Amino acid sequence: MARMSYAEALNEAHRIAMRDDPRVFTLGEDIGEYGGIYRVTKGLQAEFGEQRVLDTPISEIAITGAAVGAALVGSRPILEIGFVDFVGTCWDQVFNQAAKFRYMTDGRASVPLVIRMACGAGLGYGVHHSQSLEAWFTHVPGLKVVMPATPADAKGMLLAAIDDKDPVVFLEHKFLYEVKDEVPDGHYTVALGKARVAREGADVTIVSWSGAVPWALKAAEQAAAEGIECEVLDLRSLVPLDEDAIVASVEKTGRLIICHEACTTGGFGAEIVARVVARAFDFLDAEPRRVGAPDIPVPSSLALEAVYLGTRERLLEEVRAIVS
Amino acid sequence: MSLSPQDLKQLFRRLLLIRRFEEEAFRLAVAGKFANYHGGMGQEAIPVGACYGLKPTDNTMITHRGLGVLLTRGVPVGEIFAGLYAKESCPTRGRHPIFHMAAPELGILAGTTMVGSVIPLATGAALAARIQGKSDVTISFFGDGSVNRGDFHEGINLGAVRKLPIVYFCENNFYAKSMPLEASTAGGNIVSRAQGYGLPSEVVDGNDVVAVYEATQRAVARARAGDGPTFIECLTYRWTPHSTAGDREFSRTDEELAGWKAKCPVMRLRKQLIAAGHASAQELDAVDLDIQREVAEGVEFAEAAPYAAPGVALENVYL
Amino acid sequence: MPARKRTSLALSNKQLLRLYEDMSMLRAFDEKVSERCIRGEIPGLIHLGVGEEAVAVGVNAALQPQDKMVSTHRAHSHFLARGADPKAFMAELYGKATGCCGGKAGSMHLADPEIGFLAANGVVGGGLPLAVGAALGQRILKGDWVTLCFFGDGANNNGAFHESLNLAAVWELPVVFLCENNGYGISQSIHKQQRVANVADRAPAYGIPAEIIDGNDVLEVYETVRRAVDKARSGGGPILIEAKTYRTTGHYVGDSESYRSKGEVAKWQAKDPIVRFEKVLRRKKLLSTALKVEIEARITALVEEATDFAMQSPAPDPAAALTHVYCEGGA
Repeated sequence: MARMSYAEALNEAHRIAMRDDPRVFTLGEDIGEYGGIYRVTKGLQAEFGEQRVLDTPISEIAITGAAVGAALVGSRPILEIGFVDFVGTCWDQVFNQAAKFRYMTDGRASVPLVIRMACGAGLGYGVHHSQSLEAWFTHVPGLKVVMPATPADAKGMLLAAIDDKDPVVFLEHKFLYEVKDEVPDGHYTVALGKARVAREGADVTIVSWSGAVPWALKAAEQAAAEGIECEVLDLRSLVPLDEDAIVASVEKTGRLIICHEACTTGGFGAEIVARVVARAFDFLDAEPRRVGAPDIPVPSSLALEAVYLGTRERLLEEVRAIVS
Repeated sequence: MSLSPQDLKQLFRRLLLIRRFEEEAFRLAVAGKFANYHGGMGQEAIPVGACYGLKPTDNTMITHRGLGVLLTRGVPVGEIFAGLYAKESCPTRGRHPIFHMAAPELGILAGTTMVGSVIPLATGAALAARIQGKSDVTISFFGDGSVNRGDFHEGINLGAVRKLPIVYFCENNFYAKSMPLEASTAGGNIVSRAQGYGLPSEVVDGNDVVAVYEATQRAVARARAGDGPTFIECLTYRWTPHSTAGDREFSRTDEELAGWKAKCPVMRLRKQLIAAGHASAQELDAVDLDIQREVAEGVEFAEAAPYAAPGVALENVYL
Repeated sequence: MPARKRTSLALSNKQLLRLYEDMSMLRAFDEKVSERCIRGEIPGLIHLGVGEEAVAVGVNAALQPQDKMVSTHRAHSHFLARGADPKAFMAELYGKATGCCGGKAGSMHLADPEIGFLAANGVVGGGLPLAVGAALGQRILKGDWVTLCFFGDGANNNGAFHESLNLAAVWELPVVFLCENNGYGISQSIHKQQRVANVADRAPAYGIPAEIIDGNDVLEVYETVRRAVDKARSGGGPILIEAKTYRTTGHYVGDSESYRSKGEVAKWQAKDPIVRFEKVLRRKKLLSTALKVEIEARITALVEEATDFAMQSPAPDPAAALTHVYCEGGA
């Protein structure tokens, strides 16, 4: 065990995978000597050289397509796109190409690719650098979508994603990069599709992921002081989804709140509500609640961005409301 | 690199196989046997000339008009027809148009029907060959309709700046569906775009299979030697509409078509073989009959093949 | 290009001094922004235009009031040169209610239709298609504007560049594509991103005329852009101008700048566009030390006033975060 930040944990996962497997390489804008916008790839080029840590032009279509093409012929690319907001410029290569090859060739082609992207608001970056777009990816069969919330999960899930034979969209909340915690040494994987009980509780289930997990834990702590015991489920993966873990928790608590940073309409919370209602309707003691952002772009002014991020404060109120 | 009479006869056989296949495919599509078919009749010399000298480990990525590459590189006729019929006995098990077929053992990476999207993908295959220390070359086929897409620009720039082992191969048939080249493409021609990426380039008579072969071989040798990509523009014309779906192509004239039919790549090689004394007319007619039999057997195979069970639709979304 | 007609392009003494004052103001404004960003008063990703002022000022001097400007993530100097109100702009950077976009835009997404400033952009290359659209709109609406599209060297390897230049050329639209080539896309030198030495080398492929100019020479920028704009206005189609320049500060406030040497920065600082133009004006006896002091005092007052205004302005009403997602009446 070592104490390290989320960004450092991701860096270590890169190193381990690249040392163990010569097929693994990484490409992206400013990831070489510069070390990436979030310093996730810091020092990798010095260790692995320019042929395996590729700085690329600002050509998201080309680098995404090239990562898919390299995967098709047996490489294991890790692609960094600095902001998930930029995926619009290369969306075809993600949802029409990467996601479709296995299916359209009936399994003859395989795209073992990891696309790492940063998401999330809170830094005043404004409309083009702050969004949480995970729901888009979950609507495309063929893509796996994972969003680790802790340094230990970041490392273990990145290693699992690199091992995975399918394209994995790996979303990292900007606010998590500097979060430090204990991280196991050496190579280990955290299975994609397995949720984690981040806190146990008997009264309310809060399902969350990525940057919203710390919010949920904080609300749970505050609620505990008022005598309400929340169970916080960190989903880790949206696709594949650990539906059993969600249902098991709801069967225990009878109350479900989904907390995510993304806009509420069309957010992944809706999918969870639908599945829980279908499978555990009789266990519900109250109507499920979704706590997400209002349906607005992310404004730049911190005063306005706080409205977009109002989920943080609203969560505790929703916990109180659902038990009353 | 020079072609023996035997090679020339092999080229002829491949050209004619594509022609006879497509004639039959059109007939069957129009008869309602299967859905839309994107033919490339008149363009046969390009896939044949480009693929003839490749090693099986060299990779090709095709477009929506990629039948010739599949046939030239050795996908069985029956399997391709089965693909058109959407039957199970083809590499996609009937789920997809033939142009998504993958045959990695033949160097055929699955193609994509998104115009231009193939260029970055093929660039990635070349990038991987470089990283893996392999000497394999990738050929990225695309049509003139692709050249105004961002994928073209970004993909070729990336291949150029990294000097990747790839040939950017434009099949210019002068029409993107109904859109004439000059109405869509600034600058007057395609090949001059290569200069914007610092790449060597060639314009080739795309109806001359030997010229296509030789140009490709020069480019492949350059790529294998580590000298980076070459841009090849082959000028050609499709005799048939964009697809069998009743496309209206008002800007194409009968005179234009007649002019290009006079440059038929199959007839051209046939005349050359006979004139040079490499083959007699009877010998080539016998080849034709043999091919027609192969095509007919392929259709029979496809007709008799079963449809995939519905459960197949749910498989292979993930591993 | 026709032969240079210096006479018709010649600027009056007053206009020349105005160029100097504008460049100096842009510099002072961005230096203040940098200071306040480091202090933590201004949030977000802040991209300064220090060292590149001659491009923005020279370009704007060549434009008519009805012309449209499309910008990039490095938009401050473009926005100010085009005539943005420094107070409302500074308040926007501070995220205040009095900001020109109510605090929603911040540094990277500025817009002010009143002055023909259509959009800055947080996405590299994002402005290029928009500029083609603004020019297409001119044709459809029978307007008389030319669209000036700024983009950086980093954008020229983006698909948006290719598609936009092709479309503008094939439709012969009145767009002036102006590349501010400062040699780096964040940390990546242009030579690592493309095999051709110049962005302008790509223009012939689209049949677009191109010129490479010294982007640190405000008069050369003005004259070249003026001829290009005049040509585009008279139906001559798109033009590409590549202005070679350099940002002497980092990619953003807080950049480590590990990718370039101090010597390289110093070399460009020696070509400072403001210092160079000051020498021109002094040779012409247009600028005395006394006048320079006067100008500097004016600029200091203006920047201080803008900063004070921003500091003293109220934060936006949280309810404003929910407005203008869709039309609420009006345009």
